[in-house]
Amino acid sequence: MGTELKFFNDRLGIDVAYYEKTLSQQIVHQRLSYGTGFIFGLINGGTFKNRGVEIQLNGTPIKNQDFRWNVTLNFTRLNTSVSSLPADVPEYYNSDAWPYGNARASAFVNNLETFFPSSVAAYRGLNWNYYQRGMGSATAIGGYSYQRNNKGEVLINPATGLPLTNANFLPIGDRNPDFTLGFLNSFTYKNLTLSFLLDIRKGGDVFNGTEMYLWRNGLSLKTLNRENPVVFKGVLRDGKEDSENPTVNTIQINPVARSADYFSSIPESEFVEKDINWVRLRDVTLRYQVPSGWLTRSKLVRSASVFVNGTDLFLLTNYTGADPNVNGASAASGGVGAGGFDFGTISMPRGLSFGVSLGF
Amino acid sequence: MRKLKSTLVLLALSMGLSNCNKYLDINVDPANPQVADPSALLPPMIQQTVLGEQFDCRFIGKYIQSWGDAAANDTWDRHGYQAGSDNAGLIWRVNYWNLGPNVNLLINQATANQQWEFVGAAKALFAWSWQTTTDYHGEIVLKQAFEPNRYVFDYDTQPEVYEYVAKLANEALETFNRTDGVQGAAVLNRNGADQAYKGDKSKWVKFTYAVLARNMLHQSNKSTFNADKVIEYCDKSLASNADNFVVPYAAGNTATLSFMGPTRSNFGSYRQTDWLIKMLDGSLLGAADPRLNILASPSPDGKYRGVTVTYGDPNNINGNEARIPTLWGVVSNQVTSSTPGKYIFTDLAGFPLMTYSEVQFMKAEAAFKKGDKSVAYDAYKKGVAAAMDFAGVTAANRETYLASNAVPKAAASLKLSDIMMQKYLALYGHGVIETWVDMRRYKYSSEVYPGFTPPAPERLFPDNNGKLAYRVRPRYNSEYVWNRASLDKYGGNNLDYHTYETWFVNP
Repeated sequence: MGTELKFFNDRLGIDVAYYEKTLSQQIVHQRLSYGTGFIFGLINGGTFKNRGVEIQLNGTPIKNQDFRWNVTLNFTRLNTSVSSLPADVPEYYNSDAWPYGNARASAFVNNLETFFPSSVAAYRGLNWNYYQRGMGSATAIGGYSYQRNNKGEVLINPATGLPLTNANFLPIGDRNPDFTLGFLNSFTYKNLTLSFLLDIRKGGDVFNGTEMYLWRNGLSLKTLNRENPVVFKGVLRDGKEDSENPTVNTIQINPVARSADYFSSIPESEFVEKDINWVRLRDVTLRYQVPSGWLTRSKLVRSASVFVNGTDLFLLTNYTGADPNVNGASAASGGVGAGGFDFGTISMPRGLSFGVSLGF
Repeated sequence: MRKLKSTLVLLALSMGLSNCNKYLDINVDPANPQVADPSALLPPMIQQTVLGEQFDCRFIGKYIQSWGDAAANDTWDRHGYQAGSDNAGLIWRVNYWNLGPNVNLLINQATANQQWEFVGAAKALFAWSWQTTTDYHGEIVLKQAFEPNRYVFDYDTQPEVYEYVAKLANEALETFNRTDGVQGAAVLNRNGADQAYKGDKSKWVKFTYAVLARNMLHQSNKSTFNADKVIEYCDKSLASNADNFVVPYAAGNTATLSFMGPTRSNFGSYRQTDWLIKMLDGSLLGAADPRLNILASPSPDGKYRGVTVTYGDPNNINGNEARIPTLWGVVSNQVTSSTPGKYIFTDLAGFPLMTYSEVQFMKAEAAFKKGDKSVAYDAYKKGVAAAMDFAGVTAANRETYLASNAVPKAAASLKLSDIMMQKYLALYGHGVIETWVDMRRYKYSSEVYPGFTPPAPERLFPDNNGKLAYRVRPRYNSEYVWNRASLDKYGGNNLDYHTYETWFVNP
């Protein structure tokens, strides 16, 4: 469903598209139990619902003899909901989008809880309040997390004083942003044009695998206080953890003496940074168009301009790593790929270029 | 003219229709072979079955303390497991994927060709694999396995798998009994397909009896146990080391060399254990074993040392004279592609799935349980001698050892531990999974395995709740991810599932 409207003699244009699409019986290369006799099966199945809106605004707020201001605003919002996956499995993952540790690009069905019945003792440490983010999403981060009691307190191993890891791949984040905005402005005064593109993103989680790697290897700044004894906040898993009065953990640990298990006891879920926003100046260009009068003597050159261009000059973000605009795999990996997986990614370099363009 | 036209149209239509089926059949590729000859299917099945044993024995060898890690607190040394990992899961993959549908394919193809020896060999090998898989994992998928369009598989109990193994082995024997169809060593060994026995059907029959003997012996704690059956099967089984089921390797590259050898470098951080050294140097068994420098190796200073499991090697530093060597016989910084390795740990040493000495020790144990010590003693001595020969001990050294204090002088003084300790040494390095079955049948008893010291409770893996490992979790990326609900029925998702005793452990 879409519409395109133009007002005020093309000074303002709106292009709106809304779509909602249900996809079912997809052909999927799905991993299966080896009981099939195979590792992968090429099977039909799964039901997804894609909903999204795209809005483009074009405007020319000012237009006169010498000055002109053009604005283009792109707004995109997309949401995919997974109602079922082929062979009725709870999760689909892309093994190319699994750069580090136990966190991977997953799609989870929205009735995940039914796959982990609370009647099974092994799922005692699953508090579903902590797995809502990414549930039913095709862009989730599936990974390890803390075991928690019914109040959400972290469960601690009474023997070691370390938190217990829930080694089930469950949704620990959703990489899908709330929306993205592209904001392109261009100002033209006589022969001088200044144009810039702002790239804005709101929401969406990023797995900071780099930080996790550094943490596990004692290179993160957060490990500097490793000589200070710590007591993990949580309750002991001693059988009373779900009762009215769970035993509060008081076991003191000296991280520096426990390097074998202390640093690996913090699960992937704690390295997922939530609601990452950014504003970045993608591109800014200042261009001077050489007046055609100056070129009349030359039969060869018909047009000429001089420009200064800068890319990625600034980035404002609440992300603690280098750059939240990451992809842990190449564009060749299918689906939504490994966007939102940071593992050893460096930020976009600032680029500055000068140039002359000539038209013949 | 019009008539002609309509005839032509009809003709064209009918041609189109009749060709349609053939034209649309995209499942047959005329350019490539569409059927695999059994001789092309059998070799990878044999190789992969061995690989499953080799790959997973690295981890189980730590449970039974054949080797331990050079570093302290290794997960497997502590009778733990790696969550979310396929390590120790290759036996599962081999049974369900490398064999699985390929066995059926081979059987169908060989049946169509009336090549009964292939049918028998496939069934015997599959019986061996199901036996190993259930001994290793406990409850496994059996009845619903390989069912088309099924994605969730119920688990079956161990006695059901045991029954199936016996059935499959007996079917193999029946098939080997056939004399019709296309027969002969040249058929079974076409293009060298029969890597183990070069097309010798009589040896396959013996191998099949060995599978039946294992199947019955493993029920030693059960009311169904029949010692006479074990002895009967053993008597029909491998009769000398020449009958061993050994899978060869060829010179070349990592695709053809043994998994155990220095070139493929899969045992870099593995070290002989203190227990193994004590078994071999005479401190446990009463006399020094001529296999000391075959199954183990000295440190650079010439002294034999082994790791105390979970403590690692305190001297694991380049240049330290007391450093414990790798299983290839030299310290780890001296391992190169030209390191020869030793025993089973070389690039070219064939890897056995079944040996004559094991058969003799099975017979000895069964006879011992029955109370027939003279049969047990005879089989025990044959087993020790065969293991010596297999390890490459000279005849003179072998006889010296057999006459030494390590070997009881008379049938009356034979103890169960004599049999089990010698079986342990005979299976060292290759029969790791089988030794683990033995040790679990006796609940890691130090009566039966003198000197075996499991890690102290506080040194066990945290999830174990103080218990030793009794099974391996099914392969993670098969079952924990895609068949989780079925596993739940047996507590497969509980943190200490790997300590649950399998059926054969208890009466």
